[in-house]
Amino acid sequence: MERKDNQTPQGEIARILVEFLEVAITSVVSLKGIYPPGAFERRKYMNVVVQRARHPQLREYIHSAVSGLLPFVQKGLVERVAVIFYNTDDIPIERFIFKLTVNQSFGSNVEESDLEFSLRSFLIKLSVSQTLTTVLPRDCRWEITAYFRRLPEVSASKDAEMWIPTDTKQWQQPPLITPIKSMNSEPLGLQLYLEHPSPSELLSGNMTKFGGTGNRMFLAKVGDQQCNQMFCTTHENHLCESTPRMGMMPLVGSKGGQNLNWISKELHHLPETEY
Amino acid sequence: MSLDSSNSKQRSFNSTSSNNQSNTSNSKKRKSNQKTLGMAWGANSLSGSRSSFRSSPFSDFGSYMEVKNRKLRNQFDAEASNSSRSDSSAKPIFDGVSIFVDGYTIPSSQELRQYMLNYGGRFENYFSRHRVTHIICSNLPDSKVKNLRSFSSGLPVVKPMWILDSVAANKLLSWVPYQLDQLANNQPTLSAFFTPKTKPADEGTFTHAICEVKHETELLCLKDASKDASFSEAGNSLEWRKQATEEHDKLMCENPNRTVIDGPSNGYSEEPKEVEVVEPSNLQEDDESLANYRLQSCPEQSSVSVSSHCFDNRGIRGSPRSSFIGPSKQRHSTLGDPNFVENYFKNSRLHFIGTWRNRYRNRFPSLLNGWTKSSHSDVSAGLQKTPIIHIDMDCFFVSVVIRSHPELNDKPVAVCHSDNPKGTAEISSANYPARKYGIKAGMFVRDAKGLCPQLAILPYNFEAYEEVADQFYNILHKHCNRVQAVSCDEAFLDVTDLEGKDPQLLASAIRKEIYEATRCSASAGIAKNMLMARLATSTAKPNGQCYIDPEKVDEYLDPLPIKALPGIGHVLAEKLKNKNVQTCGQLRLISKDSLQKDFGIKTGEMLWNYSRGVDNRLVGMIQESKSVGAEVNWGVRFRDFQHAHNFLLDLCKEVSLRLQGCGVQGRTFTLKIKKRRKDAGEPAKFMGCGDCENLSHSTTVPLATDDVEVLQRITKQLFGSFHIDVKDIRGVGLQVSRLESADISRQAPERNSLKSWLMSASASSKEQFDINSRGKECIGTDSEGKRMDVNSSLLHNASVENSVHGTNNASNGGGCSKQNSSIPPLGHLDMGVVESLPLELLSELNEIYGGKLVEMITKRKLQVVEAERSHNSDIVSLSRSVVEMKGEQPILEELRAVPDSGARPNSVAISTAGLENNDLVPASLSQVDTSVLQQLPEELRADIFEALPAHRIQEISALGPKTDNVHHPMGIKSAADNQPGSASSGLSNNMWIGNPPLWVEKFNVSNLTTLKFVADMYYKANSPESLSSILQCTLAESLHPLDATSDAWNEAVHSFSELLMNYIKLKIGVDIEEIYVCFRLLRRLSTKSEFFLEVYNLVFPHLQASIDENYGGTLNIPPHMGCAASTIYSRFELFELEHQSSGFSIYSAVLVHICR
Repeated sequence: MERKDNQTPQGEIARILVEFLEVAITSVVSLKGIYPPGAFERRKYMNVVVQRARHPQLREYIHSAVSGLLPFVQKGLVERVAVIFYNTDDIPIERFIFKLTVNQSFGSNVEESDLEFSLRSFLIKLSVSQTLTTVLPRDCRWEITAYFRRLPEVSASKDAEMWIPTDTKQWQQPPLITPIKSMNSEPLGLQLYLEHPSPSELLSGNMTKFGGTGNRMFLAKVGDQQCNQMFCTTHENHLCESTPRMGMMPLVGSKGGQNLNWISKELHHLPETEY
Repeated sequence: MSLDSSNSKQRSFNSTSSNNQSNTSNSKKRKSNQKTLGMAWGANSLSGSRSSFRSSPFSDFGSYMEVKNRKLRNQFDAEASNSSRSDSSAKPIFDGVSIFVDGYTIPSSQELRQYMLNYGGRFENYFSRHRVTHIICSNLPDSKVKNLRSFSSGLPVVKPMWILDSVAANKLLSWVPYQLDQLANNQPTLSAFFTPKTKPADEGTFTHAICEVKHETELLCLKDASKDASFSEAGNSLEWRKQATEEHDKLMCENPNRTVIDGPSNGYSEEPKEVEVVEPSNLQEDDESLANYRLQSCPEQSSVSVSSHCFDNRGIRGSPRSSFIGPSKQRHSTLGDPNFVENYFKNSRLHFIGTWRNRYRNRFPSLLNGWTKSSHSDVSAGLQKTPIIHIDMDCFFVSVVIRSHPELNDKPVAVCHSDNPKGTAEISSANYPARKYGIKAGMFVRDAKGLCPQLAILPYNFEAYEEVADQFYNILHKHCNRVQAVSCDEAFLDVTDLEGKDPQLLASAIRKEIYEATRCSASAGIAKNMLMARLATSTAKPNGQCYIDPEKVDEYLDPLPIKALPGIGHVLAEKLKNKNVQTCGQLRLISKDSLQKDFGIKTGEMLWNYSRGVDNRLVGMIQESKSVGAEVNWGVRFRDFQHAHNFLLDLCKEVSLRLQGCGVQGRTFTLKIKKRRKDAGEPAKFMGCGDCENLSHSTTVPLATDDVEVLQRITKQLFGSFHIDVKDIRGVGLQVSRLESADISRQAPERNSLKSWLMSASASSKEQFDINSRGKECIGTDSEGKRMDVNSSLLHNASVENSVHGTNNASNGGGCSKQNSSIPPLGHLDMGVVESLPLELLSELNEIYGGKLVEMITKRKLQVVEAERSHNSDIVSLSRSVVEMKGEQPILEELRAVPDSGARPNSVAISTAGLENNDLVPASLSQVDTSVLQQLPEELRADIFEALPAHRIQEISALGPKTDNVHHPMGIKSAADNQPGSASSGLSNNMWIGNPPLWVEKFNVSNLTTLKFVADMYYKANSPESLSSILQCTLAESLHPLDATSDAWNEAVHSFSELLMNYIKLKIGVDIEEIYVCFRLLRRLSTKSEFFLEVYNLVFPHLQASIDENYGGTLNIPPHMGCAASTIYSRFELFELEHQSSGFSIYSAVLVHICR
């Protein structure tokens, strides 16, 4: 990947970060076992072994979602990127949160290798974090949601169109947080942690859908940081058309069945490249 | 044999002897099956057969029975010696006879026992096939007869009169005349049902040879045995047999007077002319027959011999079908019954219903074609008033059977395979009196008997079902030419055309006629469309009729529960119930849009329509079936691969027959397998499939086929791809889809070449077999063997010629465009299949493709080699990269030394497992403890130990057994002197400023040992800037109890809490991981020291509040751990901590290891 030399450090950081997020999100999805293992192949990224989605649709979804975030990350608008797993009732059961802090006033140039060392530890830690996570029920669904510090002005750029404001279901009780990895180097701070519904939440079983004013309620709770949620709806809907719920249900439901065969056939001829 | 023929002379012509014949001739075979027969019969069959199934749980009981039997024998011996002494007149006529009395007998079993005592026989209380020689009983229910047969090893089942008569005659009489009548007369009578499935213009008669032979026996047995009559019958039966295959119809006893006409296409004729006792010298050749076939019929010697000869021949050939003949064959699993597939489907009601449609279609083909097309337009025009009659027989399966049992008319009756009251056979249908007891279809017999002990259970009578169904449809077609058959007992009539008649009157007329013809009642519903008519019928039942006026539809539907609507099952009803919809009236309140949104477009529309009584279906639209298949999920138990294989072949035969019966051929073949789940035991339902995984593989071939051999080849391949232990298989199904009409492909000119390229191997062998088997049917006696040889060799030549001709056609036709089109392009060939073809076939194919095939195969092989090579080079490059990284990672050097091949997959698995456990997860670590280390590969383990300073490990282990409550005596100021709260409050988060941070100095100068200790740790820790590292050290180094005396207690606690709170403030925004680790360490420290416990309790709420403020949640701190677990845990945590800061952690090392 070549890039222009006149790019700002923030642009460079954003680029690295977005690329990293793509890999990390794929790793999360792979880790959760939502798709059969055959849907992923091993690749080397930052000198560690990672998973890459073999299914073009899955790969495209993740890729376009995070690359759509690029301009916002660059401007420092994105506060968190969440990978949320829902059960069949659309209640979130697990959230992987990537919390980003990009120093907007950082002046000097950033080399990828500087960040690589820290980012790599995320991938390594993630790959062994399965025991921290909950076991997902069958037929669950997942999505990528981004939380913004403030909603961006309506932008003319095409990438931004894919992200539209939305609201998501929230737990009523504060969730249980399990940190997975944190890094805090100068231009970039990144934390990865898990959110699970608190036990009392599970007992009450009530979910509130926040929207409109509810959204603000939620924001107030988070604290003084202004954060609005954005949600990659375009992709979700698009995928729903062709393969409902990202095609997860048939895949999960029939491990070893025909669908899997189809996939492996489909993917058989993909070129073997580095990420 | 000799015994048999003498018998038949003795008793004239009696079908019993045919039974004996088959019994004895097959007894050997059966015995060989005994070992694996896993059927339970009381407690008797325990030791041998059952153990093969469920060995362990019964071993105790088995030994108990053994002891009990021994005791009973001893008692018997003692009594016998007494009685023989007292009664000297008695002669030991029953010497060597050992009887087992089953059920109620006259005289009673005690009397029989006395006879045996007195006359030197033996009496067994429990059945054992090793000891018992005769089974005595007066009457047996049908199911028991079947069981008896399966387990009696062909032991004679004899009436008690045999013993009485023997005693009276004072000698042992032959038991044969005393054989139980039930066994003798119990011929299966299903065969007529199966004949329609043969394909038209059948060339492959051999596939039906079994059925035919059976017909023959049956017919002959049924008929009286006068010479001429029996002869003509024999001839007729043969003739009839052919007609049956051609015409698909008619019950056995019809058409006795047909003249003998042979289709020349069949290639042979049978016209028996001589009526003679069988003797080789009297054989007559029939020159008129086209292909030198001869039929040796021997009416004088009774039909038995005819059939038995056929059977014998089959037996000699070692054909697995040979045992089919015996009516007594009713084996209950694949283990015991070589013809399991056939018998399974013969006894399956679902199969009956499923295949019924084909029969119907063949019966009324003209009726179907006549009007379906034309009807569309005018029906849609008069949609609103179209009167539809729905007719349904009342509990068809019961009421048909009940006709022959008038005494059961008002009694609860159910139909089922077996009436064993404890059985797990499922009730297939119950009559209305029985339904009052809550008996439903699908219930186990034992449950039904529990609900209604007097429930009478009758077996199926498929023949009668067929007869009644035919009558039923005859009547319907008589009254109306628009009939849509739903099932064998249910149909829709469209009576629009019959303007003049009142549909209600018509319905009652039809019902009356049905009752008169069949003595079974039917119910009818009349309404404007099919939906409403069907609903009306459900209201009308039993034996009534109901008319729903178009204006009263809403009125009718309003209170109707939604479940009554067709198409709404449990799931849908449950979903609707959640929406508070339970009746059609409620359903109608929901808009179509929201229904479609919730349930999908089609279902939503269906719900919307149905709740309004709207149904646009037209009567007569018979849906073409999309797939044809057969599935066996009951009684499937395989011994070994070969066994499973044979089963598959039989299944293919069945499917092929069905395809031919439907007149279709298919391209896609799906093999479904039910695999027993790992932990699933024997299922509740006897021989059922239980808890299973459903697996399936499918393949598509370029040309549709119904050929048995092709099917078998494909199925074999599919089966191979499962890689499954055959013992785990509980069900097998073969489904054929992408159907094409067989007629089209058959009429097509390239038919010949199609066959020759796809099945060139099978075609010739099939024909050959075909002819051979025909030849065999014709052979009368063994002495005719020579002639037969001649014949068959002739035939053989003919068939070879045939096949040669076929292949010539194909290869010559290379230039012809028509034939060319039948050859699929090279690229469409499945190379896997092609490669596995036998050599000669391959070369043949290669010729067709002009030599390209071989080229392609070689290329393919090269590619495979290349792929392997590139794969290898991948590995090489990976290991190279490992080498590159070596510089920074000394640990890798050792990893690299691990041999590349051999144990690689193993080590990967192990290290992955290790990794998972290795993580900072207390929950899992507390379970993992020492096994974590053990799971790691040895070299890795060594590395880990090297990485950990040895002394530290020792210290950690020394830490374990320490007790909590030992206070360290210290002289310290009173709490009053020092107000830590106020003193430290000024510090705020400045405590972490500076290098070393302020708190280190502060703690160092304080005279509180605990704080001093922690401050010391600052200097010892690897990365002192992180508290976790310091705490880690604290945990490792604290050889002494950390507890202070009460004086300094408060101050120390406050100071330390302050430190922590500062730290939280510092890190909360950027590094909750660090905070998390710190607090988990603190938590562990708190199990050792009350000081840390108090600090922990003090700071914890603060921590959670901060987390909540920043992240909107609470930190997931795991519950307390035990000491032992925490020790191991700390090892890894320590290890992990050390590495996470020092660069490449062990994980990356492990991962690199994996990728090698």
